[in-house]
Amino acid sequence: MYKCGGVVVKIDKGLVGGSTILLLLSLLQEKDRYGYEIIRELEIRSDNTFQFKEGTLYPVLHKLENMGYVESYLSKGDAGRERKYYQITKRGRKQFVEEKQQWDIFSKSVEKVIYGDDHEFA
Amino acid sequence: MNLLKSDKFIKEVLSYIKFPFDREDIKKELEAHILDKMEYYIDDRGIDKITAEELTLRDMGDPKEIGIALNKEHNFILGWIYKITNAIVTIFLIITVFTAGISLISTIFSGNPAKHISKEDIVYDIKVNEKVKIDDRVIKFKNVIYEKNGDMNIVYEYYDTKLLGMGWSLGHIGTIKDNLGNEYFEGSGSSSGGIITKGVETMNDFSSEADTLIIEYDMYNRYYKVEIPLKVGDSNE
Repeated sequence: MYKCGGVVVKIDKGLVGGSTILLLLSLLQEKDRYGYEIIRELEIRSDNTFQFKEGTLYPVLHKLENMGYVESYLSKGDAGRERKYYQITKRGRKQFVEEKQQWDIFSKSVEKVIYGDDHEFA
Repeated sequence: MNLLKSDKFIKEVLSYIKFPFDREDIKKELEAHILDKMEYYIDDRGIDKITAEELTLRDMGDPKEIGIALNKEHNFILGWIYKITNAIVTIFLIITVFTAGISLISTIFSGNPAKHISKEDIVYDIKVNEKVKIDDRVIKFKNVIYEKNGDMNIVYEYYDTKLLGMGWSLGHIGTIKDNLGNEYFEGSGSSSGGIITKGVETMNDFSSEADTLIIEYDMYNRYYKVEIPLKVGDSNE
């Protein structure tokens, strides 16, 4: 769901799905985070645009771990609750840079198509 | 977790995970998430516990969908291969450490290989300290002990300069001759294992007139010759 000028817009799941790895790596390259923290941060930063079923985050995180983009470790947070933290690896950082470049090209191309060649990009 | 609905939710997710060793980790991770989210509903939104749990599980999604997706990332076959490989590596390491430990202990406690020779029987005991090398193996001749009964004992030790070279025993230190042209065959020999192997080779009826002991090794294209000056006569050292 996306609130745009007071109007609630439904975001296609596939749109988010394609860039999930980029979003997760982006948050993890800032600092180590645990699953719930990632969900909260995605909601806050996207102004609640990215709301997906929270449990589905874990298969993606475990996939990133299998791919060697992140590593995990257990640590007790402020509440004394043991949580599984994810830490980006060197390989993950490299992947983040590549995906970000691809995203930049992709988003600019989409805007060109929608707004035409004369559209000025911020 | 003592939250019936949450426990049921997690149990259902886990029922799809075929690799049993990963279930506990997944369980803990999902439990922590559910508790965090419930805490948010209760503390930040002022919602009661029962409703908070219901809302949390609604936010989590379909346990079947999550379970199936997680199972794909926790491959049953790869998981077992990983476990078995780990077990093999662990066993190998234990054996290596154990073998190295035994070698170290036997080196420390092996002592003098010529200790069976009593002092009264010794005519002379000459320190040698000659060192030769075959491939990666260093052989040190420590001393020669001549006994009243004519036995000549050559005390030696050997070790490998490479760790992986450990394992084969020397067996033969070379042909034993003297300066008079006599050639001797080994009467007896013994050696003790370890990182440094200590050994003694005994030749019977060694000539008391010989003033040089010659050890000559010429096998498999490897060659060395050691000449050890001896004391002629019966004088005790």
